[in-house]
Amino acid sequence: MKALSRKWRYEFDEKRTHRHMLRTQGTACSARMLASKDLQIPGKYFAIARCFRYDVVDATHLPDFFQTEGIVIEEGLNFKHLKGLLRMFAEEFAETDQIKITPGYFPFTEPSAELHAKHPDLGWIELGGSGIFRPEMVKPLLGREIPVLAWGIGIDRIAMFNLGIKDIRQLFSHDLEFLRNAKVI
Amino acid sequence: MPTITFSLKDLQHLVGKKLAIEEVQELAHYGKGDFESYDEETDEMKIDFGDTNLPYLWSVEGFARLIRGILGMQKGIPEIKVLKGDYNVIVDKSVVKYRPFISCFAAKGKKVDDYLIKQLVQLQEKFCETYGRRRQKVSIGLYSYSRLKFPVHYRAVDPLSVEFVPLEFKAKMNLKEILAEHPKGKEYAWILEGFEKYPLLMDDKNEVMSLVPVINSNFTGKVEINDENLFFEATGTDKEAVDLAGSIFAYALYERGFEVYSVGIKYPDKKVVSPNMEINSISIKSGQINHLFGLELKENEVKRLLEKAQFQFDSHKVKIPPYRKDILHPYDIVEDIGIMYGFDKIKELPLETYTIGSTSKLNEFVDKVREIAVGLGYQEAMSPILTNKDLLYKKMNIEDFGTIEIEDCMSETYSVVRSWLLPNLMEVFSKNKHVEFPQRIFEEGLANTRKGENITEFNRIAIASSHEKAGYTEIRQVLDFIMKCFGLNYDIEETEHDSFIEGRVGRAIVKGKKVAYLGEINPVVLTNWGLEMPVAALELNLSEMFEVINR
Repeated sequence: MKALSRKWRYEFDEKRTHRHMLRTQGTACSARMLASKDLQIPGKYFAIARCFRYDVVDATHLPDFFQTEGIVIEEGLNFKHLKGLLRMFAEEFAETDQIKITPGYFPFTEPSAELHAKHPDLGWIELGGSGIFRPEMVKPLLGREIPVLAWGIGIDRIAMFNLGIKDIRQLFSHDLEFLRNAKVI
Repeated sequence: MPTITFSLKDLQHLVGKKLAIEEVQELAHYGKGDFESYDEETDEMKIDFGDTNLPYLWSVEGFARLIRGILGMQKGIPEIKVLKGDYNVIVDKSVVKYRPFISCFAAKGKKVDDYLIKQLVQLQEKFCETYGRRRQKVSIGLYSYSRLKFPVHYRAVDPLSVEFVPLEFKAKMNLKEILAEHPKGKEYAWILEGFEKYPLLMDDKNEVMSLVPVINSNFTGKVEINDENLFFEATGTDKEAVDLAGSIFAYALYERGFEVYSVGIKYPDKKVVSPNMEINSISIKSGQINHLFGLELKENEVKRLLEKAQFQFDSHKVKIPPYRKDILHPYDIVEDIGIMYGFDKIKELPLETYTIGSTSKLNEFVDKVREIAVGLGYQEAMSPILTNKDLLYKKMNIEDFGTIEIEDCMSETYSVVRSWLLPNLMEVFSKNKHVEFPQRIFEEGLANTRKGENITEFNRIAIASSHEKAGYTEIRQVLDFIMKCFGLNYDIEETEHDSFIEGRVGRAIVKGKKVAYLGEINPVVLTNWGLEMPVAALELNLSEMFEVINR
C-alpha cells in the first residue's frame, strides 16, 4: 500500500500500545466508534467521557474531569460544515452567538480549530477544540477516506459557568448542604 | 504547550513595524498561539503556542518571521545566508551507538546582551524539553568559540577517565560524580542509564565542552554578556530533529543580524556541511483545498496564500522552509492555505442530513435507576474516579480485591482507579457529620477491578442512608423498589462481607447473577470514618443487571 503520508518516522512499538492507559481525552471514544461494526454513514455520534490528566489539583484542575466529544461522518462535509456545527454548539451551550473560530493544533485533525465564545461576564472563553480527522487516522480504522468532523468540549467548564461556580472542585463537592441547595442546571 | 516570554518592543523591532497589543493577539492565532498577558511596566508579553510540532515559534524571532509573512512584508521562504566557515567537528565512531547525530554552526558580528541570552536559553529549553523529549532526542549547547580550539571532537568516553568543572561548580569532577551530585546530572542521568561510555564534546586541546546531554563545562560551556562569537551545537538520536534545531537557531541568529558560518562535520563514514538548510517539497492538488475547506481558489490565489505562509510554490510543488518539519501530508499545507485565507472569512454551512438520534440503551437504564434513587429521596453525589487504597480497603475493613494502580501517580490521594463506590459515600458522610440527619445519598459511576492483566469495568450504583434508625429493612426496601420497577424477581442469600455487620448483610441474586451487596455498615468501618450515626447501604452492579434484563 502506498504510504498515506510522510508519517512521524519513529519506531512503532506494538507492545507499548498494549499497555493500559487512562484516556486523557474523549477522542479515544470516537476512534473506537470509527472502527466499530455498528458505525453508520452518514452518522453523528457523541460520548460523555471521564478523562484523566497528570495535574496537580487546584481551582481549575482535577485528576479526572468530563469531556463530551463527537463526530459527524458523511461524504462531502468540509470545514464550512464544521463552522456551522461549532456555531450551533456555542448557541446551545453557551447561549451566545458571538463566536470566534481560530486555528488550533491536535495531532489527529487537519485542519484543526478552536471555538471561543463571548461570555457576558467573563469575556472570550475557549469552549473546545475541533477539526477534521486526518486521513492517517480515518483510513486505517475505516478502510477508506471519508470526511469526519470531530469536536470536543470540556463540559466541566461550561457547567461552572452555568452554575456560577469559580472552583472546579465544587463540581465534585461532598458538602451535602451545598448539594441539597445547588441549582441543577 | 510552550509559553514564550519576550519584549513587545523587540517583537516590533524584529517585524519592522509597530504593532498594537490587539494586533499581536490576532496575529498569534495564525501560529495557533493564544495571547496570555502583557505587562506594560516591563514590556513583557506572554504567548502560548499550541502546536508541539512547530518549535520555530517558540522564539520571538520565529514569531516575528510568521508575522512578516502574514503582513506581506516577506514572501516565500525567508532568506538566510550561510557563509562558508573553516570550523570542523570530528565525530568519533565511539559515539555513534549512543547519540549519533550532531548539527553545528558559528555566528558572529553582534554583541550578546542579557535579553538575547535569555531568549536563546528560552528557545533552547522549550525545544529540548518538549520537541527534544527532555533532551533524550535532542539537546542543545551554546558556547563562545573564542574559548575553543578547533577542530572540536565528539566522542564517547569512559565515565571515570575524564574530569571537568561543570557549570556553576568550582571543583573538577569525573562524569559519574557529575551525574550523582550536580542538579542537572541528577535530572538527566536517566538518559545515560546503561551506557558504558558517555558522549562528550571537547576541543582540540582536550578541554571538555560538554557532557552531552547533561551539562556544559563551567569554562567553555557558556555564553556571557558582550560575547560576539557564538558556537552552536545540537546532538541527538534523530537526525531530522537535530537538523531542525540547527536551522531554527541559525535563522533566529541570522535575523538578529549575526553572520552565520557553516561547520564541516566529519562522521566516521562521511563528511557533511552543517547547518542542514535543505528545502523539501510536497505536491498538492487544488481539489484538496476544495475538499477540506470548500474553497475554489485560483492558482495565483493559492500561490499568494502559500507565499504568505512562507512556502514557495512552483508548478504544484510546494517548497518547505528548513525550519518546518511538521508537513506530513498535503493536508498540512492545505490547512496553512486555509489559515492564511482566514478562518473567519470561510462561510458557515448547516449540517443537512437527517439522522435519528438516541442515547445508548445502557445509559437510559442507568439514568432510570438514578431517577428512582432521587424519587426515593436520595441526594446524588459525585466523586473523582481516581482515589486511594486507604479509602477503598483499609477504612472499609476489607482486603484489596484487585486494583488498577497508576504508575508514577501525581499524588497518593489519587493513586488508583476505584474498584467500588460505597467508600465514596462513606467519605461524604464523614465530611457532613454536622449536617442535618437523615442523610440519604447515592453515587452512580464506573468502577474497575483487575485480575492480573485483565481489567473489568462496571457501571455501579451505591446507595446509603444514615440516621439513628438506619437499618437493613430500610435499604432492603430501596432494593426492592428498584427491582420492582424493572419487573425483576430476586433472592437474598446470606453472605459475609467485612465492611458490613455479620448477619446483617446479604447478597441479591437475579436470575443466577449476584448483582448487589446490601446491609448495615460494620461499626469498625464507622469508627474508621469517624462516624457515630449508623449507616445502611447497598451497592448494585448496574452493568450486570442490565445484561440480565436484556437476556
